[in-house]
Amino acid sequence: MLRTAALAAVAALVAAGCSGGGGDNSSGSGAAFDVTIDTPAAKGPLDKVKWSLYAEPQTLDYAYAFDFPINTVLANVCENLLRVTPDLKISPGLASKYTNPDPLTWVYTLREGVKFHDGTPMAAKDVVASLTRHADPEVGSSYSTVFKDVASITETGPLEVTIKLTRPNVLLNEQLSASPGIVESADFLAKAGKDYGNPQGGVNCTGPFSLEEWKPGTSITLKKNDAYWDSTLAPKTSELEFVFIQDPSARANALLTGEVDGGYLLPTTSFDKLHASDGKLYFGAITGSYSAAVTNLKGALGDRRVRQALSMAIDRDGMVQAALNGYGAPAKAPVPAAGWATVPAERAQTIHNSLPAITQDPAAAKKLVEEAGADGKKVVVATSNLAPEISVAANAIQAAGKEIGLDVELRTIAPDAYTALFTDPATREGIDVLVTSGYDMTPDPLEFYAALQTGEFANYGNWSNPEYDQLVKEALGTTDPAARAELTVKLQEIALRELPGIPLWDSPMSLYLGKRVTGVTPNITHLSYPWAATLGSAN
Amino acid sequence: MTASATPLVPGGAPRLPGARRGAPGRIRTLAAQGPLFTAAVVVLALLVLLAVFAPLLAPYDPNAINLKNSLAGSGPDHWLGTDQSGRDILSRLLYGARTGLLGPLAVVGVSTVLGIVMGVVAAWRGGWVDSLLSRSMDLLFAFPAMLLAILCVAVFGTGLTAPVIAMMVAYTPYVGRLVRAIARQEKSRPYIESYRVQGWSGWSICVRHLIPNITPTVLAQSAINFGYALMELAGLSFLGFGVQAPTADWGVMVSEGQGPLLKDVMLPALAPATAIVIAVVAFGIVGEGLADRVAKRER
Amino acid sequence: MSRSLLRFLLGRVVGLVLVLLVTSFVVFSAVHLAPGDPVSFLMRGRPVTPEARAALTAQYHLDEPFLNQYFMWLGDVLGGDFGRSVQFRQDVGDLVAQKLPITAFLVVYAMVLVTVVGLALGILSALRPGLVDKLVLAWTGTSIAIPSYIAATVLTSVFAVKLGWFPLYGAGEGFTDRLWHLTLPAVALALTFAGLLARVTRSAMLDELSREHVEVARSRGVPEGQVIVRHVLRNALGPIVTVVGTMVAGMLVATSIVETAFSVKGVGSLLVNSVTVKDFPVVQALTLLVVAAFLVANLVVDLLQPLIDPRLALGGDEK
Repeated sequence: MLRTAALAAVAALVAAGCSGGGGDNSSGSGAAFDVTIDTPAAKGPLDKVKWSLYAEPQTLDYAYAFDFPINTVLANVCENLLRVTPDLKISPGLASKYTNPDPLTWVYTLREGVKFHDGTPMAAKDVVASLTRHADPEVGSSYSTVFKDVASITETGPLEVTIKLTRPNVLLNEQLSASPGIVESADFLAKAGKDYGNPQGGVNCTGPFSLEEWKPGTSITLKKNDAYWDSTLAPKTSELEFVFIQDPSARANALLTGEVDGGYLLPTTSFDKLHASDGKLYFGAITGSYSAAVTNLKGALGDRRVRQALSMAIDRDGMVQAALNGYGAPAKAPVPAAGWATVPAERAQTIHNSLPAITQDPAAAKKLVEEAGADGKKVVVATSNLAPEISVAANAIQAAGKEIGLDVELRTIAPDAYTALFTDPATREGIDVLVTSGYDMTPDPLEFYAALQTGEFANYGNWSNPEYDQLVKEALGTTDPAARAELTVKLQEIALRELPGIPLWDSPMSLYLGKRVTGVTPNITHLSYPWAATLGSAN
Repeated sequence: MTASATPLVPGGAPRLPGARRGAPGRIRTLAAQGPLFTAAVVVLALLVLLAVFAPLLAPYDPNAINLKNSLAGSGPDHWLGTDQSGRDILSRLLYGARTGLLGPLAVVGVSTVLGIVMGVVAAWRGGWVDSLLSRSMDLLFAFPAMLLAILCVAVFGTGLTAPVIAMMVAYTPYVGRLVRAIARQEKSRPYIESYRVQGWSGWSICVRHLIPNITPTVLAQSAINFGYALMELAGLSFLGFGVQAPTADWGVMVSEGQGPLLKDVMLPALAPATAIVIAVVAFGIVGEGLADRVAKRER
Repeated sequence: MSRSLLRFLLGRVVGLVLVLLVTSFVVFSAVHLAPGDPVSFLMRGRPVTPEARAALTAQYHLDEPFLNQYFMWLGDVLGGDFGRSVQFRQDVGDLVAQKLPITAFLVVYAMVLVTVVGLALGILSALRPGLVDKLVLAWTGTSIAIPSYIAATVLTSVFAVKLGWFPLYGAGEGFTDRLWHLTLPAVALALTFAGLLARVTRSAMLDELSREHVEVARSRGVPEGQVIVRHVLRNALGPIVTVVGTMVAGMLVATSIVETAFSVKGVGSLLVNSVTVKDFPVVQALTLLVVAAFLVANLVVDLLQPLIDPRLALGGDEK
C-alpha cells in the first residue's frame, strides 16, 4: 500500500468500471464528474510529448519507488514480473506464468526473448538480483517489508525463479505486479553500484521506453524502445519528456497554455478552468482514500477515544466543499469500493454500502476527550501549500481539534519536502497527524490493511494490535479471493474502530490531456502499468 | 573608496545613499519633501496602531475557519473576502501586522544597540580593539542575513526565533561599520577635545555627546533596515521557515494565496502582498527622510 | 607587476582564506551546536543502525577529538568530498555541480539587468533634476520594496499566464531557451537590487557633479558630454562597482526564494529543500559556496578599483 502526498483531485469513487455522475454527491456542490477507465484511443504516432510531474523524483531506483512522480516515470521504463491492467486485473508480465505448488512455494517462468535496454537478454539471475536487493538492509528499500516472509529467492532454471516463503503470503505474489516486482539487469546493478538510479547511474530495464537523459532540475526524457517485447504495447510516441512543476498554479497554467501536453494529479482549484479549456479533464478510480494518518501514538492521540473524537469532530462535507471544489465525497473507510477489485463489483459496493456513515458530533466528541483526560493536550498536524487541499484539510483538522478541547498546532512543510514525510521516518519527528492520500498498488484491499500490521513501513504511527495481526496472518494464507475479502472486511472493522488513520474523503485521480494527445488510462494503475505506451495523437 | 566604507544593507544590497553623511546640501530625495515624509510617518503610525489594537479591530477570530464560506469575495460581512479555509482576510491582515512588525522590531532594536556599542568602542579605543572589532564585523559581512537565518533554521528548526536571532547578529555589522565611520569623524572634531581638556571621562563623552550626535544618522539607517528585515522575515515565512501556519502572517498569507489565484480569486494573495509593499515603502521613505534631515542640519 | 600590488594581492588572498576557514569552522560546528548528539542530528531520528552510526562516524570522524574532526572534515571538503546527500542518494559535490549552472545563469542574468537598468535610471535621474528625477525616485523607491516572491506572483500571472510571452516553469536548455525561461525569475530577482543601484548611482553622480574639477572642466569649455563621461561617470564608477560586487552573495541567497516561486530547480531551491528535509551535508556545502562567492566578488571589486580610478593606490585600507 502506498500513501503519499497526492495533489489529487477529488470525487466519489464509484466501483472501478462503473461510470457515475457526481449527482449523488452529498456535498451538494453540483460539481459533476464521470469516472472513466480509459480515454479515447490514440489515432496516430507523435514525435514528442511533454508530461508534467508535480515534483522531481529523488531517484529512479525502484527500491525507493514509493511516490507518484517516480512511479509515473518508472512504470514506462521498468517492468514487473506481473502486470496490473487498467481494469485492475493481475495478468502475466515479465513472467509468462506462475504456479503455487504449495502455500510456501511460488514458481515464476520468465518470458523468452526479453531484452534489457542495453540489448542484453533478461534471465533468471536478473530477477534474483533485483528482488533480493529489497531485503538488503544497506539498500534500505521502501519495500523491504513486502519480502519479510521470504525464505529464499533462487534461480531454478535459466528462465525460472522460485520463491520460498516462511509462512503463506498471497500478497507477495500480487505485489510483484507493482514496483516490488521490477526486474533490473543484475550486471547493471553491480556496475552502477551506489550511483544506481541517480542522474549519473540511470537505470536499464525492459519497458516500452528507455531512460534517455535525466537533467537534474530540468527534465527526464524517455525514448521509445524499438526492441520492446510486447507488440500490443509498442509505443506510439517517440520521445516522452517529463518536466517538474511543483507550483500548483504554474502546473495548471502550463497545461492550459499548451506548454505541456498532459499530467496526472492536478490542483483542484484548476478543475473548472481545465474543464473549460480545449483539452480534456478526466477522472479515474483510486484504490484508496484521503485520510489523516496518526503518526505518533505516544502523544495525545495514543488514546483511541481521542482519535475517535477527532474523527467525529471533523467537518468532512466542509472539506470536500472548500478543499475540493465539490469534486469528492466524505470517506467512510480508508479503502473505497474501487479498491475491492478482487471481488465482483456488486459485492464491493455492498461491502462499502454496509459501512456506517461517519456523522459529525462535536459535543459527544468533546466528552470523549474529557473522558480520556486529553483536554488541552498538544497535537501537531503537518500542513503544506503543496496542494490547497492539504492546507485546508489541516486547517479543518485543527478547527475540529480545538472545538473538542485539544491544543492543535500546525507545522508547515515545504512542498518539495512533503513527500519525504512518507519515506523518511526522521522527517515525521514531532508530527502527530499527516494528511495523506492512500492507494493500493494491487486490486486487493488486503494490501492496504496488511500495511497496518505491527512494524510495517507504511504503518506510520507504529500502531499495533495483536488481534489485527492475527487476522492479517490468516488472510495472507487464504488463496480464495472471496474468502480473503471476508477476512479483510473484519480488518476494516477493527481499523475503523481503532482508527490508526482517520478517513477523510474520496476523490478521483485527475488526468488532463491537451488537445493533441490521448490514449492514456486515467486511473491509479498508471503507477505500474506502462500507460505511456498507448499515448499518441488525438487527431 | 574601499570596501569598508561601502554603504550596505544586510541583505547584501547597498544601503540607500540618503543616509550618507556630508551630502551636498540640496534637496536630494522625494522623502525630504514634507508631505511624502509626513504621509509615510502617518502610514507607519497607523500600522502600529492597527497591530496593537488588532484584537479590538478585527471583525473575526483570524484563525476561525468556515469551510462553507470558502473564497468569498469582498462584501459587507468580509471586507476583503475570505481565504480558502473561509477565514476572514481583513482579520488575518490585522493580526499579521503584529508578527510582521514584532520580528523586525526585535532584529533592528538589538542590532542597532549592538552596532552602536561595537562601532563606538572600535572608534574610540582604536588600536587592537578597533582591529579586532572591525575584523569580526568583516567576517560577519560574508554571511548575508538570509543565509545565516536559513542556516539557523537548519540547525535549530523552524519558527520565528531562530531567524530573528540570526538576523540580529547579521544586521549588527551594518550598523557597527556605519557608527564606527562617523564616530571616527566625530572624534576628531574640536568639541570632543575640548571636553577632554575639561577633564570629562571618555565614557561620559561617548554617552553624553558622541552617541547623541550620531544617533540621527543611525536611526535613519535603522528605519531602512526595518523595512528590509520585514521583507526578509516575510520571505522566510513564505518559504515555510519562519512564522508557522496557521498564525496570521503576511508572508504565510501570500504563500497560501497562490492556490486561489487559479480560480481568479486575487484578494487572499493580493491583500498581504500590498501590505508588505506599503510597509516597506513607508519605512524606506522615513529612513531617507531622516537621513536628509540630518544632512541638512549638517550644512 | 609592482611589489605593492603583489603584497596587496597576497594580503587579500590570505584574508579571504582566513574568512573561509572561520566560516567552514562555523558550518562544521553547527552539527555539534544542534541539540542532541551529532549522529542523531545527522540522522534526524531515522533508526540509527550500527552500520549507519559507523558510516557517519567515519564520514565526520566523530571518534576523533573535536579539533581533529574539524581538520579531517576540512581535508575531505578541500578534496571536494562534502559527503552524501541523505535525500538524493548522491554525492553532494555532484548534486551541487548539476544545479549550479542554472543558478549561476540566473544570477549573472539578473546582474546584467541590475547593472543596465540601475545605471541608466541612476544617470538619468542625476542628469535630469525635476520631473524625471522624481519619477525615477518614485519608481526605485517602490521597486526596492517589492519582495521577489510578490514580484514572482505578479510577473507570472501577467506575462506568462495572461499574455503567454514567457514560459511558466523550468530553466530551459541552450543559451536562448534558458534566457527566455529565466527572464521572469531574473526580473523578479533584479527588481530590488536595480532600484538600489539606481539610487547609489544617482547619489555618486550628484556627489561628483558638485565637485570643483567638474566646474573647472566646464569653465574650460570641455563639451558637456565629455564632462559627464570623463569627469563625472568615471569617478562615480568606484562606489557603483563596489556596490555591484557586494550584491552577488545577496543575490545568490535570494535565489532560494525566486527559484522556489518560479519552480526553477537550481541551487537556491536545493537549499530550501535540504533545510526542510534536514539534509545537512547539502546545507553545509551551499553555505560555504555562498560565502566563497561573496569573498571572491569582493576581491574582484577591490582589484578593479585601481583600474577604474588610478588615483586610488592599492592596499590603502582607509580613505
